[in-house]
Amino acid sequence: MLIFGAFEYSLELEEALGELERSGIKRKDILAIPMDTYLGSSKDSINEAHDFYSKAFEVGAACATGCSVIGTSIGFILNWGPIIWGLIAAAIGLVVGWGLYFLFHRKAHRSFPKRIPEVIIVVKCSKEQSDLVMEIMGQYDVLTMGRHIESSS
Amino acid sequence: MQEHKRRQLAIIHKYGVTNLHRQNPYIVAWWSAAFPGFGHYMLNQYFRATLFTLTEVIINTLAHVNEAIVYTYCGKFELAKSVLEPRWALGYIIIYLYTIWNSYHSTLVQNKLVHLGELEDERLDTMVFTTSGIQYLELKSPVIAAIYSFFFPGLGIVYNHRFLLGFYGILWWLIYLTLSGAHESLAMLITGNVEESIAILNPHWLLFMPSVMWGATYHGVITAKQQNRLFRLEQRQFLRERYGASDVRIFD
Repeated sequence: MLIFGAFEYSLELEEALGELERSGIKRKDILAIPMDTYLGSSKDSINEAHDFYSKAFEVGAACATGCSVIGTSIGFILNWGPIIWGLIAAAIGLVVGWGLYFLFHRKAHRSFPKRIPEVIIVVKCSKEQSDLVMEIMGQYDVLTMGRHIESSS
Repeated sequence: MQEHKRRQLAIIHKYGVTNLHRQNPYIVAWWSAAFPGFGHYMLNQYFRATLFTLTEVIINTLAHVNEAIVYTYCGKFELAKSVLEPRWALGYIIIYLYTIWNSYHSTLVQNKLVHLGELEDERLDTMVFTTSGIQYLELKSPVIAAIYSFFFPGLGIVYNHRFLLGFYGILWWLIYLTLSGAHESLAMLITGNVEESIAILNPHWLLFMPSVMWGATYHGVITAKQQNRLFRLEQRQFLRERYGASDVRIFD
């Protein structure tokens, strides 16, 4: 019998694998396949150059800093003072920087769901063990899982 | 004997993680411009970055650069001219431009080192025990790091385990708060005492704060993301080692 489980990279994944081995599954009967997205090895991206949100935030934070310094300075002669104007300017900078990046790179952007299967675990076990295997996977944050019952030929 | 590692992507040590990562050289240069030294923090060159930040604060204070900036944006050009100390201002500019150029250039080099490091794929460590504490790779939330760093620069960096830099940031934020009067002013603003809240502020020390706040926030976000990436890379290496010789066949 084969059991498939989809996980994120996590400490829980290693806990699940450790518990599976302790429950009597042999190491040779476990297969682990790290999955890639079009970005590289995961949504937080092995290749950071393609991480859309990081880059948008990069530009946003840079604009926020610049605007905030200017806003704080001018705030000394404005009604509400430097702190408020510094914060307002920073917010404007952040939104404008982020927005401009978004406008120019909208086409390159493809959004991911928050949690994606990053590792597929395949476990070969007997019919009797299968419930236990799925229970362990369920305990340690498996995203989805399924089993394949081999037809006895 | 331990095998010699030539091009690693990261090490874990008692003060946190030090790693190479791909960056946009213009962004790094921009952080150097916002606060000399910050670009070098992004490059994980902690010691020189710290010395640059100290240089910045000392020479900026001696040359009255921040006051001149405030006067200039307020349109008081005569005041700006008179407050600036020429004895220090010229040296300030040279060091300022050097940090921008140097961090830009170093980013180009480090990006190549990252490429080589990824090709060599040396085994990453995941945990280190020292007499002063445990350090390990774990998944971090960039959002939490950003929020802590925004409200108190340094905390987000401690959250990312780089506690020596984090406490250096906390110390400076306390100094800025004390000398600028920012939190007192904020309290007065909230209670509606606007005029006094402006009068209490010290422009010189206040003007360091936006860059520090945003620099720390940005640093919190990118280090959290980098550490998540290292965590994933290490776990991939682990899975390959441990289950690479699997007997499982899906099709016979």
